[in-house]
Amino acid sequence: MINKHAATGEGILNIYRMLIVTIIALVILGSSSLFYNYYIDIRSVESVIISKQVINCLAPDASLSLDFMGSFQDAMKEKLSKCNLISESRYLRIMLFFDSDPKRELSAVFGNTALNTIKSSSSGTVKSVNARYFPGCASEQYRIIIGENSNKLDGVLNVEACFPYDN
Amino acid sequence: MKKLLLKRKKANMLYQIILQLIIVGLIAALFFASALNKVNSRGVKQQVIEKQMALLIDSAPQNTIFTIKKQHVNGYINNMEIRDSRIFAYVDDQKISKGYAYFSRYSVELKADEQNYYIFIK
Repeated sequence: MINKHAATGEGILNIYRMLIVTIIALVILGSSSLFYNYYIDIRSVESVIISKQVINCLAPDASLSLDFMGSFQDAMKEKLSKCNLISESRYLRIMLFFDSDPKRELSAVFGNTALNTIKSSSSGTVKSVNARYFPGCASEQYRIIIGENSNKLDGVLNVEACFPYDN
Repeated sequence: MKKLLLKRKKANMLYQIILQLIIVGLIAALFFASALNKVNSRGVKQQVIEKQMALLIDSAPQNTIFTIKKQHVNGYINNMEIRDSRIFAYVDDQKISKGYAYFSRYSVELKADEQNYYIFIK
């Protein structure tokens, strides 16, 4: 005669064994994937590339004309749209500084502004383990001539770009 | 009668052991397949190729052609795709790729022959 209680107990023990084996396998798999996975972060390089593309688009011969109607933001938007450089997925900030008047500054912002907010709030606290989930940014400065003909001014064009996390 | 019961019990035990071995074998096989995929670092190789290509595309001027050998230094690229502004590379018989986004201002096309892939920036 088969002892039903013993059979049930053995069945439960089998399930328990299976669970132990599965958990051990998962732990080894998890730790191996933690050690063997490596994230290559190229977003700061991408930011530099896009900054250089922005300067090539706005001031290809290192001179920026300011003969526009309306705001600096709209003028920059028009120029950058022609070069196909505005995207909602990344952040782009263009700042123009005048040597003759250090207090004067023109600024235009495009794309996902949340990226810059996250970057600013996380600066100094980002650990290398989770740094990949924070935006990758770069800031480039270029000396340019602002204006045309007789009314030429020296200045600096600062381009800041941020890219979000992408696997 | 006792002998018959003993035989049944033995058969039952044997059946349970075989079943247990099959399940453990399956778990082990799944585990080794996944671990092998991680250990041979195909994912990292794939990442390297995709990101290298994305950076080349991003920085390339118009009318540029890149030639990428299928027998790449990071493994054999058995397939490469460009869709939705993303580049996908499948290294050493990989089946899955999330791809990597590029942002070229120009139109990007991909062609392949028996030995190479060609990326056209038009």
